[in-house]
Amino acid sequence: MQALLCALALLLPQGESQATPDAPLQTGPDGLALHRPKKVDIAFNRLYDDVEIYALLDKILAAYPKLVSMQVIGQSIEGRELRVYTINNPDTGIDTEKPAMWIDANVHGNEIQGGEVAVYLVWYLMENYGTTERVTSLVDEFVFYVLPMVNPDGRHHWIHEVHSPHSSRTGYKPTDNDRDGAFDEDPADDLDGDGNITMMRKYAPGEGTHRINQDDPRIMERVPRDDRHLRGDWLMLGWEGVDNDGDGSINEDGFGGYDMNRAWPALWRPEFIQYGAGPYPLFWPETRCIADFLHEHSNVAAVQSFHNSGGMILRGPGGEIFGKYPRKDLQVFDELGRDGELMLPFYDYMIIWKDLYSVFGGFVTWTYEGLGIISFTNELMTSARLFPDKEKAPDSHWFDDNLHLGAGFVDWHPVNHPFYGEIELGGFRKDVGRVPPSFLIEEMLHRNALFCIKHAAAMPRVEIKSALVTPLGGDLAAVDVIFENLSLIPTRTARAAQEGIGAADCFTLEGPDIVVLAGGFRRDRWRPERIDLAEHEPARLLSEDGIGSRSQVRLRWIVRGSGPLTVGWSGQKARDVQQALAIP
Amino acid sequence: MLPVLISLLAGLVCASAPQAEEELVVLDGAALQAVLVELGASALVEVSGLGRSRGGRAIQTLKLSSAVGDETARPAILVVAGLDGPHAYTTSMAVSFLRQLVAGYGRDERITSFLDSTTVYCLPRLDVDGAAARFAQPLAEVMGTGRGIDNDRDGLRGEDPPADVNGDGWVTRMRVVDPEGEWIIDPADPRAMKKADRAAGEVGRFKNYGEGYDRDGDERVAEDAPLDAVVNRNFPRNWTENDGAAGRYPTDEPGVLAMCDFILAHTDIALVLAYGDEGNLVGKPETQKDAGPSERGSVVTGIFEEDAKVYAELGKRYRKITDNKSEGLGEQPGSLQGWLYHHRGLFTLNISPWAVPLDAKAKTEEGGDEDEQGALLKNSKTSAEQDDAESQDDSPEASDDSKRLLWLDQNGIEAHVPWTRFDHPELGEVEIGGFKPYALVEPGPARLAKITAVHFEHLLSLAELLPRPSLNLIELQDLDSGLFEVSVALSNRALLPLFSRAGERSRTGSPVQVHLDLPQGAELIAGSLRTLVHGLEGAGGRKELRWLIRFSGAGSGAQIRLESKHAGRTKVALEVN
Repeated sequence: MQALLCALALLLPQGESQATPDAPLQTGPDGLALHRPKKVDIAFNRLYDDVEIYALLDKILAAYPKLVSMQVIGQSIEGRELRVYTINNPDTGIDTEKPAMWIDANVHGNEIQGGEVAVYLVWYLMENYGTTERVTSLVDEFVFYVLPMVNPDGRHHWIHEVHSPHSSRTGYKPTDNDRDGAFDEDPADDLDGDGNITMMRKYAPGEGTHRINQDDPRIMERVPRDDRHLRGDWLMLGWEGVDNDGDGSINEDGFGGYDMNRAWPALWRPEFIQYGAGPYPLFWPETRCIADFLHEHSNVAAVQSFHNSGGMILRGPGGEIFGKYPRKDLQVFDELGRDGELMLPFYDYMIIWKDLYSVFGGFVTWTYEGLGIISFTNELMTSARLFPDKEKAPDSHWFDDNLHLGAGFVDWHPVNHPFYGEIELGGFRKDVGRVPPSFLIEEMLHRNALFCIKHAAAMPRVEIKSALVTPLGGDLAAVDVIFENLSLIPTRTARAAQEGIGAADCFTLEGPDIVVLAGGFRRDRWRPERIDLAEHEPARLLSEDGIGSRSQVRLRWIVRGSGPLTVGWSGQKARDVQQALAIP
Repeated sequence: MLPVLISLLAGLVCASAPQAEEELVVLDGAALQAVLVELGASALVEVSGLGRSRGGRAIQTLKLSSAVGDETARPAILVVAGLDGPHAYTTSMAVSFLRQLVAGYGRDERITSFLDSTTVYCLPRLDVDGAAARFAQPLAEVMGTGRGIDNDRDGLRGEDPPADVNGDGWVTRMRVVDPEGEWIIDPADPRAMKKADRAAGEVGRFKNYGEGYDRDGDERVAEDAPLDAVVNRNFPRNWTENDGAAGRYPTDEPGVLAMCDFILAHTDIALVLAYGDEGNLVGKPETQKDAGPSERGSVVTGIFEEDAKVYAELGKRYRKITDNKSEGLGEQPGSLQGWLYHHRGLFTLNISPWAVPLDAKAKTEEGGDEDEQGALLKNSKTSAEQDDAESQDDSPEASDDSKRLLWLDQNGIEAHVPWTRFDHPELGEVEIGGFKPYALVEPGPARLAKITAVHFEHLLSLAELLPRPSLNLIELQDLDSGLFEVSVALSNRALLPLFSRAGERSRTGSPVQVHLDLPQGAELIAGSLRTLVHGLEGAGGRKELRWLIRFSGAGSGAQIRLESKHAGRTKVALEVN
């Protein structure tokens, strides 16, 4: 019904809908309850397929053509486009000269709702540009590269074909998982044709491993194996399927069969250590085009990737073997992670290997360890959103029974299995568990999009705090400059400095009639003579460390001559700054 | 260029008979192309493109396969060479093998049966850009030819390359007297430099640079060449992170990516021969126990012990045939060789075909056969150095370079450019000299021909070592009422197992499949219609399979088939009366 009303609303001529008598009430700030009508109307209480996601973003692009642009950076295995939507205000410069945030989602085909977060983020920034001051300055100052689907094939198949909540995680390059020389020949099968892959159980009185829960016949529980020698009446036979290739195993070589979030070249480990890694890093085209994009966009200073589920804000390292991240970078991760925990109720800020499990070759560990960018993965959706008080929730069906009236569960029903004979199928539908129910989607999108904005707003901003000329007698002068990074994220992360990633920051002084005799970083704010003198090229001082989090860097140059001069800073992760001075 | 072509033509003339050439020269790009065209004309040979290098040069592979029998039922040997610029000469070995195989097929019985039973793939030159440097003027050894990197992190790429400062045609070394210098002249041979052993009280006198300029004024010389990521450090195995010289990511180099995809596509490869800087047949390679998949993700560092036994025997046979003493380097991070063994599970014979021997003995008597170099050596000594030289017998500290010089002198090879004074525009007075580029890497045309001949013998010896499991009917027992018990044995008499321990560990070893084909009316009572056999030891490795089958009526036409990607095919018929 709701969907029908929406459709009707779209059919109304636009002028008519804007001329409603309610209009004067709807002028409040965006994001609040009495907000004004939106230029682009999107239902944020449902999830969309791959074609729809691009259509929504194209609609936003059409409404805001100056600020949004799109480029296709690659093709999936099945030929779907990988599109990056860029938010950039061309009036304040081209994108590559400004710090940028990279946002991606849906590298696992079934973990889809990050795609909607990506859409929401673009939509939110555009709808509020020009009316909400902080959105306007954020968009004027920074750039967003948004790739809503790393794995559009996985998304497409998960939505349109028979799947469980957990299948279609992979991409769709045929892969021989059981080493029998055939590719993808034994996937799960929809035995009852209901569009769901659920669980198989078989009645085996006195010979089973499971029994039916006394309070809820939908719930299967394992019979304890102990001295009481209890017997169950049911056997659990795994996910719905048959032995398609006659090798004695069921569902052992499904579509694809790898993990594109194990393919990135930091702490990458081969298949025998890390399932799904592929024969070499960036083996699949979806991953390689992103790696090339990020290598070519050294202005990316923040990374966010969306997965599901579990309610987590994750950072690296992915493996214990890596050791610890440098202290200065941890302060940045921790501040954002703690703010994230407050912005995202029921989400925990966690370390991948320690609090979740080891992940070798993960994306955000590569963007930090290999590219030196502060990066997070959010695992969207947690059952805590459904049961804030777990103690009081009787079981996993209670929520479905009371808030969906049982719509999420496929009740056990008999089918005839070609191999097992008479069995029963049952379980939760694929869109239950890992993705939120309709009425919780918009909240999830908003909170996570705003976490991205928080992270983006922390990208480095460099200013020249002061620039002073002190005559030293004769034609000599000292030029003292203080450069300041106003933001949380340093211009060079400690990791980038340590590993020599990207270009070093560069502090410059030049003037037509000025000879730079010496220069260097001041070590002591009170004693101007304490300088780390550069050994050569004092007019162009390089720094691997850059300008730290909310910190200053002080320099002193000793020059000869007079007239105009310019001091400046340039780096990859913040806008370059310059200031003109003169020596009288 | 011209001498190369002339030698090549000489080679073509004698290519009609499968005999070794007397001299083999290093092939430049055009000469290699000409050989590939010549080889491609043979019905046995298929030449395929493998894309282009970063420098835009074509990389090619060849396939040699006879038309006799079923080509898809044969295992293949892959020959790779030219993995880096300095080892460009190994390409001549690889293409010589191919020419001898082509010329000998149908004439020489051994070669004919080799090619009728074994496919040969060849990548004669991966680092085509590095090899081009071998023919450039001035002459320089160029290891890196991948993506350009900013070695000195000054924001510029390739601004300070090695150069021929004194215009003698060679890019060699420069030594400069400098209070910060860490090098001294080797008392054993004043042409050689050695690092001062400060613990032994030696004080450094010289800085020792590659020949070049300090164009960017950073007090470092020739430290930033234009194309300098190293192609054969860009493979995924044990790749070095955040080191520009290893590439931005594994397979960043187009040739490396193409080579990886080539390996994935050619599942019939059972053995690889890699001619380059690494060696695992002469020395004792590092080995380790298979500790199982590592939760912590630590990198396996050596050859698995089970495989090491096979390598040891392969090494013994190799040394017997070739008498090669060059151990070569251990596995290098990011090398093709390491990836092939550890990640693809392929037995990979790493061969360093030659190195200047370090065991030359100085002649004791002052004879009349002292050559010019020796005379020069004597004349250039200061009295202090003379004293040092006289005490060299007591000193174990003679540098490897001085030992190499001794061997080179004894063999009449002018490998060293004498140190000569030069007024360097940035460094002031320097001496330029040192080993000529390639002098310590290349064996020279006559020796290369001899080395190639023994390595061709070695190649021919390998076909019989490849696993080709046979299928033997052990039992076909009539249990009455049409019920038969069938058992067969798979056995592997070859030295190599079906696949390596690394192949099992990496799950890339390809199992053999045993199919039971039943005619109409026959029924399987016990057993499996298709069995995957995951491992079969070498040298008599054996595995038995059994079935119970009930035949009704005329049960003829049943058979058991063995199929594999890299270990041949065979079948056995079940004759039931």
